[in-house]
Amino acid sequence: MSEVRTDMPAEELLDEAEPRAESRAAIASPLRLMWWKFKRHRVALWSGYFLLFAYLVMATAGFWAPSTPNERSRQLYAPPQWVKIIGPEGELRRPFVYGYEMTRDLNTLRPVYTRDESQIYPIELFVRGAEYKLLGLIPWDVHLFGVSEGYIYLAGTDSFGRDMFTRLVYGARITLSVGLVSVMLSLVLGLIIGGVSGLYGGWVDSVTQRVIEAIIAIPTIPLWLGLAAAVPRDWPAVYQYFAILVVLSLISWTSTARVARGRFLALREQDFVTAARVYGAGTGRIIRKHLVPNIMSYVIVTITLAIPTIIIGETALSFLGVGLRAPTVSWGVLLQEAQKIQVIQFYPWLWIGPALCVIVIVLAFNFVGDGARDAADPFSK
Amino acid sequence: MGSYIVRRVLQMILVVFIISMVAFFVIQLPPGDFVTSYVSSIAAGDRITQDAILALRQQFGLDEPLLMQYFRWITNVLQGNFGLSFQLQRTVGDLLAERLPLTLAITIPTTIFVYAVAIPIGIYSAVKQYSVGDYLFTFVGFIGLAIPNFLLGIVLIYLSTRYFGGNVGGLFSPEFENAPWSVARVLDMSRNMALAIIIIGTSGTAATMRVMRGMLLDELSQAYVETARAKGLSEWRLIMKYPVRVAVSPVLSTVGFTLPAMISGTEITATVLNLPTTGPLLLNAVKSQDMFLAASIILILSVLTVIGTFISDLLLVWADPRIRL
Amino acid sequence: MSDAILKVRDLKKHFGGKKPLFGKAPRAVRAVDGIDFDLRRGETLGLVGESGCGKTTLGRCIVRAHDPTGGEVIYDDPDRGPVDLAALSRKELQPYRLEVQMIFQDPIGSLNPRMTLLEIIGEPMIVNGLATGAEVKKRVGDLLVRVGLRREHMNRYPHAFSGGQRQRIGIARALALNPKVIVCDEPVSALDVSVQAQILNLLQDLQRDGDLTFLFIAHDLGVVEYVCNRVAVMYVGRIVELAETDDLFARPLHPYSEALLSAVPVPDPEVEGHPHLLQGDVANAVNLPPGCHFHPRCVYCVARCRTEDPELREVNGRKVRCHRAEELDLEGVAQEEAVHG
Ligand SMILES: Nc1ncnc2c1ncn2[C@@H]1O[C@H](COP(=O)(O)OP(=O)(O)O)[C@@H](O)[C@H]1O
Ligand code: SF4
Ligand SMILES: [Mg+2]
Repeated sequence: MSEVRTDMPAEELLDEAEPRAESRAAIASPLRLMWWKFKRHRVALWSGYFLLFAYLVMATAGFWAPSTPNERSRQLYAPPQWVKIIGPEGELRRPFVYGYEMTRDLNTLRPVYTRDESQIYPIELFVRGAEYKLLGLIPWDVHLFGVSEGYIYLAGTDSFGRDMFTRLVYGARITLSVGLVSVMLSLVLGLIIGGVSGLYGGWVDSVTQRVIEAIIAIPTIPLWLGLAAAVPRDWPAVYQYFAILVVLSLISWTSTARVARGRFLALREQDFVTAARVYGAGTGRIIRKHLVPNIMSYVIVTITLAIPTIIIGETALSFLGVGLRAPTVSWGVLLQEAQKIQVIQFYPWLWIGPALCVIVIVLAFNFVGDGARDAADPFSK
Repeated sequence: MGSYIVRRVLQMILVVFIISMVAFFVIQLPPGDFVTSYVSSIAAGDRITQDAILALRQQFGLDEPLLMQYFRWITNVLQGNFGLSFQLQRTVGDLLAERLPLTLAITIPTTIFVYAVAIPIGIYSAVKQYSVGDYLFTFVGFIGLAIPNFLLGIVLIYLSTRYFGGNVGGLFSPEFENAPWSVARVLDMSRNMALAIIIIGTSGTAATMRVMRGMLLDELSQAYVETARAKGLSEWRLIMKYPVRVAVSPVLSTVGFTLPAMISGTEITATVLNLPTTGPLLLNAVKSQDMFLAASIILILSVLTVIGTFISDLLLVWADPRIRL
Repeated sequence: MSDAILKVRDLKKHFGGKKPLFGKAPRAVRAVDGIDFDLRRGETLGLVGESGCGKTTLGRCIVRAHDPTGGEVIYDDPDRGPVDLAALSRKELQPYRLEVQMIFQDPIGSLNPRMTLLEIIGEPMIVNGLATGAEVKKRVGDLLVRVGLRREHMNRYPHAFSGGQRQRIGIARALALNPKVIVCDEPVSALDVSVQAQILNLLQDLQRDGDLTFLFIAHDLGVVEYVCNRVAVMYVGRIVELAETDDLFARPLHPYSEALLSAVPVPDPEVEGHPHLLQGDVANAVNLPPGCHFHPRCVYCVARCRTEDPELREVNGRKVRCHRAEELDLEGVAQEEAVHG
């Protein structure tokens, strides 16, 4: 099945000491072999590119968003506008959006928006607008797109008339970074705990195993809830953010630890480790040079599959109102609106947007994780 | 078998002990102690005297060192006394007795649902690898995995209110809410519970189905399958006879992960669908820092998980003696 | 030629047997259970026995990959005098690491897949401070050439090489420290028959040029006949016979040696092979049979064998562990002429 043959061929008597076919594979590093194997997984590859893009957007949120997340407007609960290129008379135009005309439903007093075909707001690229800090450092005011007159709400507005599209882009910043940073934290915890457990064995290992079993047996959401409850409500947003990070990783390290331990246990018995001991390599060196490089691929797979769990965790906690809170903008915080039945029913864009974002990102991570799992062992079929 | 059970029971006791420490840790975690939060929660209404606060502190031993407090708490718990919910002014035991049955009544059928649906689909997907059906199930599986169940709940509420004018949420439809028990009322309840089961079971089904497919594919690539095929056994009989049996055991043994996930799913979905399980109770407890209640719920749910896993492990060993480890 | 470079005395390695937290202590696996022999400077001593009888464990105790449970491994260092390797602490052992190295059985598991040949072969030198920087590169290149590979290969990873080539890499790594003694743990068992001879030739060439002493582990006598001066036959943790290769092949003194010899493939298809004498499984190293450990499988077993454990004794200048060594007339194999010097 594989184009990269790494198994042992029947050897020829005559030129046994000659190198094997001078293919690319012969000189490639294991990392490169992994990459080649991963690339053959089309869906995984494109999901990977998509995620890279998503994280790029996250890092430069201000540029992609036409507005700023807390900028209010007079259009409350406005539904998403559609980008059009055909004008009212059927003529071709540069992309534009129509303005709204708002009336109120006299029974429910809910705002009702209809398209106002007399107001046409052409979409412009690289427009100047609200100032923001690129990468959190460089002040700038150029936005990828925007309108110079009127307004543009590609994903509708919320109860304060804030642009949902902007809020989604800014929400990515929190939600995606929570996923990444939490996983890094749990990676460190998991590697250390799993490594110690696997390397030292004995009672240390037994106790660690029981602790991990215990944590796995505790239903995640309830435990997260319990831990999140301890985060004081009056803490500033940044503290809350870090507290939630810690809460999320306090549980997810177990999967990394299990993988790390299992791999360490298996590797410890490998002859190349014995060889290293026999020629006098110290424990530290064996861990650094022989063990860690050989578990990294498995660890990468584990964390790729752990990130979506964390993202869902953040979303769930914030949705329930015990995670992050406004004015922090995360997809989970945005979903809090869906606690209200009227919002679910009458202003679906308020929750469909963040919900779609979560699903698409989680899906992409799962695809990448699946591909990475297949590629993790470059020496298997 | 006997020594296996003894060893597993000892391990289980150790695990439960660690869980109880985690739960106690949750109680201790909020800044200040719970008397502070109790006082602040009732301060709005009644006034509470300094003496009363002191008495409360002494009653719960909050002046004592942590270890003593844990000891006091766990002895009480072991005697069935989980403490008091400050917010609701009722014993935690009462509240649990009220809410826990429904949690179980949803979790257990959901778990069965997951395996009952996922295993046949997994078998089909593996046997008909790369068929249209396989791709379809794989696709649906990935989507199912990616949608958190509370979102699925929201989608369902939206669809039913929007297009079916129906009413989702709660254990009963409004017309049955206060009606006396009748066949129609039971049917109505089952309908609402079935909805919950599907919502909660989706992601578990998606995951289990993938595992089953992978396990069976591994097994089907073994040499003995080819031998059996050469002997002219009919395809389905051949597959069901040995490979499926081998592949199913490890899949069923994932229950240790599935069960906690089901309970998590139940609790969060219950808050969306407004079902009177321990979920909404826990959420409220957590929001008002009613820590005895919160920790007790976490403890009970976890211990039930451990016991459930234990039972399923025993059943597995009993059914397939090769598993013993 | 006959002074001992390594003296192994009553070496023991037991696995497990520690009391766990709950329950009673399991019985230890007596993988190596009282081994004595001398390794003579410059010779190749074969160590044979069925799989699971403790050969690898013995080899690993000698290179101190395992800490022996008891006994001595006395290395006669030309400069520093004799020293018991088994008694040294990890730190004290470090200088002697250079002297005794090991070649492994598994050509895949013995090389770190994430290291290039340069790193694999160079690491022993770096760890022991023998060379740095460009010097490492030069030495690794020389070693590669010495084992029949090419200098340019040093930047590749093990996966690019075949089983035989990987075994050459393993040999180069063992040579990197210029050892005096190499424990070869079944270096060719995992290879195709056609490649086996090449590796064996390589080992012999290296020995000739490099003043090396080999302890050569194998599970069948066929390979041993080809490379070894003397052979020690091992059965569940103990040596049952030790003799010159020619003598052993011509006339084994221990029934187990005879049984192993009967399994050696006969080179001439005209000659009818011996009946396969070995039946049953290797005795369990946890629960050893009383008396002679080989008695349940021995066709010459008498009443005495079931109760009395034979000593390793001198018989006709050879060592053998059998009550009936003198009286039995066991069958060897007709040897091919002039296989080795
Ligand atoms: N690390 C270990 N832990 C426990 N038992 C072991 C270990 N290594 C080897 N053994 C046991 O010791 C015995 C001898 O094994 P080994 O030395 O590998 O035999 P050989 O190399 O002759 O095939 C076997 O019964 C094996 O199961
Ligand atoms: S002592 Fe007896 S049982 Fe043991 S090898 Fe000799 S003859 Fe056989
Ligand atoms: Mg061996």
